[in-house]
Amino acid sequence: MRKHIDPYVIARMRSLELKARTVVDGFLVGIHKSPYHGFSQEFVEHRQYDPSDDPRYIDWKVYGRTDRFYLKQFEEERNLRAYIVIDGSRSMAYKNAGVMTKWEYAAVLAASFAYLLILNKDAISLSIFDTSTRDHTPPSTTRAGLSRVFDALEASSPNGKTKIAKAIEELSSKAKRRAFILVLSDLFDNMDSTLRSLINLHARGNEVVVVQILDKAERDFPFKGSLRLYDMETRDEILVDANTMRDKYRENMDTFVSSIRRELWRNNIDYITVDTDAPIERVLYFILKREKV
Amino acid sequence: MFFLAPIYLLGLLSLPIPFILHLFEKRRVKQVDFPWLYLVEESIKGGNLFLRLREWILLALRTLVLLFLVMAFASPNVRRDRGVILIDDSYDMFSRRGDAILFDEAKGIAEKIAREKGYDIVLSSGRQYKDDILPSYMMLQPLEVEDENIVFITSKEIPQEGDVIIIEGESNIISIDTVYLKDPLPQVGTDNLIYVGVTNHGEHEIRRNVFIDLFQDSSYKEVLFPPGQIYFSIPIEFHRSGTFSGYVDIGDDGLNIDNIYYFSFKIPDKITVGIVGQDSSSSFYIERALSPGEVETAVELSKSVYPTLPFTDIIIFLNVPYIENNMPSIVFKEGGFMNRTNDFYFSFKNIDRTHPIFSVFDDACIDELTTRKIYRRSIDNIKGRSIVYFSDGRQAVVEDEVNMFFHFLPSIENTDLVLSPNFPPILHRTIRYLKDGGDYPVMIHWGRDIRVSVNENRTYEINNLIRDERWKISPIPDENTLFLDFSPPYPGIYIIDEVGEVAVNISRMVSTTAKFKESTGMFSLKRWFFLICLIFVFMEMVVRNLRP
Repeated sequence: MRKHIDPYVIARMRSLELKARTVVDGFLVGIHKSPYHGFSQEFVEHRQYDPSDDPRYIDWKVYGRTDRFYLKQFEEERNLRAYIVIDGSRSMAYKNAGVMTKWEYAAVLAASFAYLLILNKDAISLSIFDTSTRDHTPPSTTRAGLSRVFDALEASSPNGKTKIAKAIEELSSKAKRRAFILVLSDLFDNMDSTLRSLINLHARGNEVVVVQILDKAERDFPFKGSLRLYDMETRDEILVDANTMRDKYRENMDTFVSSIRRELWRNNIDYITVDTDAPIERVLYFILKREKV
Repeated sequence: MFFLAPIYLLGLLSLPIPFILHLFEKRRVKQVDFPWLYLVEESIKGGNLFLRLREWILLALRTLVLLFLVMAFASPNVRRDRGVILIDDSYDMFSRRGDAILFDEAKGIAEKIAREKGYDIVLSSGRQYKDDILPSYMMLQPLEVEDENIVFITSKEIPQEGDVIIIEGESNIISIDTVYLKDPLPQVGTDNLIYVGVTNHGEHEIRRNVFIDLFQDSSYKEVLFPPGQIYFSIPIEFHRSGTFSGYVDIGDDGLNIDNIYYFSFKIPDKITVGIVGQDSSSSFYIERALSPGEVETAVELSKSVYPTLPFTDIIIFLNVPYIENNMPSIVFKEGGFMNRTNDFYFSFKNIDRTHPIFSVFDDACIDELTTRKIYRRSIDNIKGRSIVYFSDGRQAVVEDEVNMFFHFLPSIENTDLVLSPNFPPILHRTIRYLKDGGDYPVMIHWGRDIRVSVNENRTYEINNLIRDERWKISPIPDENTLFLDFSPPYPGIYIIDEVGEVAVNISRMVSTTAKFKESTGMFSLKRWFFLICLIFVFMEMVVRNLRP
């Protein structure tokens, strides 16, 4: 059993870089404990990974396909170009049951993923969006590029409304060649337009992974009694009796999540939904392996 | 609808409170930021409308609770047509009819009518003369009772609208109106006459035995009483000075009540005369005039300008043109002539022209004395009655028109007023003096001076005219009279005001229907308003716990 780092511990760290390195180190420790699966003839340009090898050279794409660790022979040709698209709208600032806001969770996840890819000499780009892309760092394989990613994440805070489809479309025009696109969002937007944009993105040959980040309270609606709810983005308000509508809400949330999952999987888009108290390295694991953790 | 205690309507200023609390409640509802309301809205479709509606209903119910509570405390009432039964309780009504008296029969009729028609005020008149029921009828006017809703129960014809029920009994009713001495200043050892004024209320001459008891002597006399008022006399001789009390009793009359008149006279051994505006020559003549008899009666003349009235039996005013203005300066409370205002009215009537003193006056002078209005007096605060105090502690109620006897001294001119201690006490014979204060009831028969007033607290008030004190009591009537459970602390004249304003329990039998209500023709909605209030409270509790 892998021992995961408690997100509470991550949340208490001050620097995003430190958080990312901690997550990645934890992830890599976990990787060292993976069983050896042997050599595959399929990838002759790769050398099988040995525990003494530097895990920075592991070809993650191969690992994702084969569940085996191989080292890249020709790093330049095998470098990944990954785009992280992170939702920076106001709704991502929500925190109730979790140890960190959805934005903080997404930021750590994005930073960790970026750090891992830079270690692997892959190119990483970051886009932060609300109603459109408000910050973008171009792809880079260097440490400086990684620093720019960290800086962009640390400087940003969740604000504004959500328009996921617009951000995806903007990214689509930037990503000229096939790329790996990681979307980190709560997906609280028009479902049809969101799904359409993601499917189109995938249809262009990109590998798309969607991580829907939610707070546990958004799933369970643990509130009691009469409440006046204010929408964090629109400031609309509504008076509710939590006791009477909780079950229906949960049902609607499950339907919402399952509808997204169904549509994305149908279109070969990997999708996972996580709560903000889920260990981040497990999510990293999924991103790389594309299996639900 | 109107309110008996409108001051409580100030509570309506609290009506905004539920709205203010509603606003506070609104704020108090937990306010929560939520990232996305779309799914929430999908989850409560229709339910939110219910919640808002419930809020408004609760606000309305709470406001109504407050509104009805405030109005209930303000004593809401509605007027309704009331019926009034007016019972004549003059002397005629105390005549017999078989074994019962007319008044009892009238009460029975009143009870029946009260039950059948739901009339719940029963009024009785309080006077003893033929038209005595009419003043009570007049007192109904402010009560806004329609004529058709008034029932008169009487023993005589009355010119009145409304339903008049006449019951007749024996018509031989004798009432003793007054008892007085012929010589108001009796001398010891001299003959005197006791005059008894009597009214035969019937239409036929009747003969009755009159018994006079003077506690030194008693006498019996058979008297023939023609219809109307007559006076008869009984000779008496006072053998000594002092106070003499007695009573006159006319037996076997048509009344079913004791017909006794109590009286007392004082025979002074010394007369103190106070002269206001005197001169020395007048004093001599006054002294001679006041001591004409063989038995020497000491006369002291108070020679001060303002005699001390507690020790004065006779006050003679001479040459005092502005009596009215001077009177207040010689008023003393104890044993004095009370003058609350400067307004007096006396006329002199029934002067005994056979008295030696008046023999020297010619007719013109007598006429002037009998018609001249010396003073006109009204005393508002003791119900239009004047009270005269005497040095021996007797008190008298003075009517506007007074039977007075005067000593006039022929040589004194410009005599304005003479007051005598033997001024016949104008006391109603049915008021019995109490010898001393005690915890026992006063039996008061209806009569001229007996009036019961009702204040807003709807209790009876008895006024002591002497001391101007009042007591509030609740009546427990007996069969014949209004038996007032009243314990006066000291003797005096106890007057009950204006019975016409009173709704009286004429007997315990009619207490349920004739029981006096709070006021005229009002129906109280207080209990209903409290009940409605409770209903709204219950509804509020139910609605508050409703769920969509």
